[in-house]
Amino acid sequence: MRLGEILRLSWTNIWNHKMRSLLAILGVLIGVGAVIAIVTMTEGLQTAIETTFTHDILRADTISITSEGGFAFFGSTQAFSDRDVEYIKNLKLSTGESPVKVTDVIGRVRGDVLSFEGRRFLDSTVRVITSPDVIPLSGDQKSQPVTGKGQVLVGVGTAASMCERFKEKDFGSFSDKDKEDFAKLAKDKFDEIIKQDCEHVLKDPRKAELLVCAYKKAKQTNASEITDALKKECADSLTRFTPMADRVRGQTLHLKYLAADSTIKEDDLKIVGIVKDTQFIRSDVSYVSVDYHSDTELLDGTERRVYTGLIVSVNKEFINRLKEVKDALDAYFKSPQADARKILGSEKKVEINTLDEIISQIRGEIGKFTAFMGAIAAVALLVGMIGVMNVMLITVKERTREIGVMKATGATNGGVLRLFLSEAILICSIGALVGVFLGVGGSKLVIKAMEAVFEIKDIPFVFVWVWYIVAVIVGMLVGIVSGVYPAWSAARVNPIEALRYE
Amino acid sequence: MSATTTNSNGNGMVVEAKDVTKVYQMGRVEVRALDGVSLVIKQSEFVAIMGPSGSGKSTLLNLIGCLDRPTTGELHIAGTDIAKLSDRKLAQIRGKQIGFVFQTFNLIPRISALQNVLLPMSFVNTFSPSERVKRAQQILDTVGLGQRMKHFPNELSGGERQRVAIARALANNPSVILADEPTGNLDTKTGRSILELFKSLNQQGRTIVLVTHDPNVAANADRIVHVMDGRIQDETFNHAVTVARS
Repeated sequence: MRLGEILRLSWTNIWNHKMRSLLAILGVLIGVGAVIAIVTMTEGLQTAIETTFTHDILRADTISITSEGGFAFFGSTQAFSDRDVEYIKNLKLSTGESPVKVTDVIGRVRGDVLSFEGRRFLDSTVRVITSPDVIPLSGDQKSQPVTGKGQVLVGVGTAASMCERFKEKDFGSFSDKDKEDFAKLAKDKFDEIIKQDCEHVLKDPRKAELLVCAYKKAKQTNASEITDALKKECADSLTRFTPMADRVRGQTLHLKYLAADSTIKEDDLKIVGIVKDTQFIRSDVSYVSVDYHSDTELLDGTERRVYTGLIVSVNKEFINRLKEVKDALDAYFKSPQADARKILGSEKKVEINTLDEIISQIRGEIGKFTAFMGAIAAVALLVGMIGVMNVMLITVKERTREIGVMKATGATNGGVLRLFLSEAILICSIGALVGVFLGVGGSKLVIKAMEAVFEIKDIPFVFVWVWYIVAVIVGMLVGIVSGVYPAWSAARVNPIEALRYE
Repeated sequence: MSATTTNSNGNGMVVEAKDVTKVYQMGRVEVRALDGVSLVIKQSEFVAIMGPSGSGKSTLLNLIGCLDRPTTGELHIAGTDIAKLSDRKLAQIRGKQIGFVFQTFNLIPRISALQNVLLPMSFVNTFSPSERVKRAQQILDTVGLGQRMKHFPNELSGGERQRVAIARALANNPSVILADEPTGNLDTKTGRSILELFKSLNQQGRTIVLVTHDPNVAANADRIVHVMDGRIQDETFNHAVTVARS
């Protein structure tokens, strides 16, 4: 029999048992779909985290040094003294070369109280940073790094709280009832253009709130009907709406802190930029210049400044020798000479990581996760395979008489085997193909869920086409594996008995 | 149908059995289903095999139909000794030389009459794929079903189904048509028309072997072979038929 004839006959058989075939297809579909969803999702997750590190936080020429248990290099223990920093700046390799270009420090501001227009931010913390390069600023060109005293970079969270304050200042507070009233009015009375505008605007809650405010204002001035004046007011509100970054930049924050001489000092800080909202960077942290740093530890009888983390940048020619630099740093922090060792004691380790290591750590973690999820999905596929096998066995049993007829009319054992095998493969291929599509779609849902549950931001959708091809091929293999025994038992049927079979 | 069989060997013998025995092992008991059967069926003959159930006529039919091999003896079908053939070769002989017609029609229910006729052609490459549909339509025309080829078996009457089955048996232009109680599931009138179809096929030169226990059915054949206890008891010639034909 030619392939076309075999496939047509198989399809006829599948089509004639729609429910049964559908259930068998569903089994494979769920298995393949689950695998594809997991692969697509973890691939996206990995890309998201790697992007954060490679584009936003670390560069190829940097080594991060933190204390164990810290959150990336924004570790919580202030363990690295200025003596450690000095040592690292002058670090020598065994060959006598000096690889280190700069050592940047990250530290806290002691007793920080940050306020805006007399109101204190409750959860905010202030960190010092020597090289704000390591902090990703929000994409627009207008953000600048802090260059000295009197400047500050704020996190998105802080900026958002400030915006709340602006709204209150502009419009007073408003309730959900106001929003509803406005939405109703907007729908009923506004002429077409404004209506379209409003419907569009209402999808953006922030803009909607501004409109509500405009409405309220109009109501207060006894505008019982929607007047041209109110429309104008609304339009004005829209134009008044400016992006958060623009609104916040240039504003002044007030910082109260404990200075090195243990006196409380105050300073006004001008916001020069907003820190990009990424993984691992808390949105309510503000960054100021190292001038505000005052945290010290008493070491060998002297008060020394201490920091939570260090970022070592090496000279260009040492980029390929990061391992050597890392080993030298490692040796230093294991020696009793290091202040970090004295502060941390023997319990906590110093973590020294290159970008590659962090990436491979992440890959390893995600790999474990993928393997675990993949195993669950594989079980689903196995169950699907058993389902197909079961359906095929029933089919063979049911069609025993037909097998007898086919054999009597010249079908060879091989011909019968191919016929039933192709039916199983067809079922599984359909399942795999549809499974890939649903898996891709499903992964989008799972990504949404992951973003919500683990508070990870912006997991991208990665199209891993190699996996889709693999999935379809695996689907066919599953078809062969599940179909081979039923098809073999069909081929073995004795035609004489089969023709008598009731 | 203009094509008459050319598949038989030179001496015109389609079936040639020499001292054929068939022994089945039923548990510990040996059952001698056929015990030294010798039989010759010539080309263009219409032979009926008669006998009560258990006589061995079904076993003889299975052997002639190449569904089974004899235990001892020689069995030539269209010139080939099938006693030593592999399963695969046997299947090919079945496809090319034998056309089965069953009591219960045994059509594939999910495909149309036309596709049922096409199916045996796809197992054997006697006809090229391009000829097949035309040929199947022609055969269905000959059996009187030219108008109903797109119908599915469940849309056809018993007689029509059996006609499709006969068309299917003719698909690969076989040397012999083996009909096992072809009228057993049909009413008398329909049965008679099916037998008429067999007769007309025979008159066109088809070799037909008909297995039955009904003397009225057997009476349509040129020759009746009576089987009893695994042996051929006697053979009678239906002179009325032979005379009428000559």
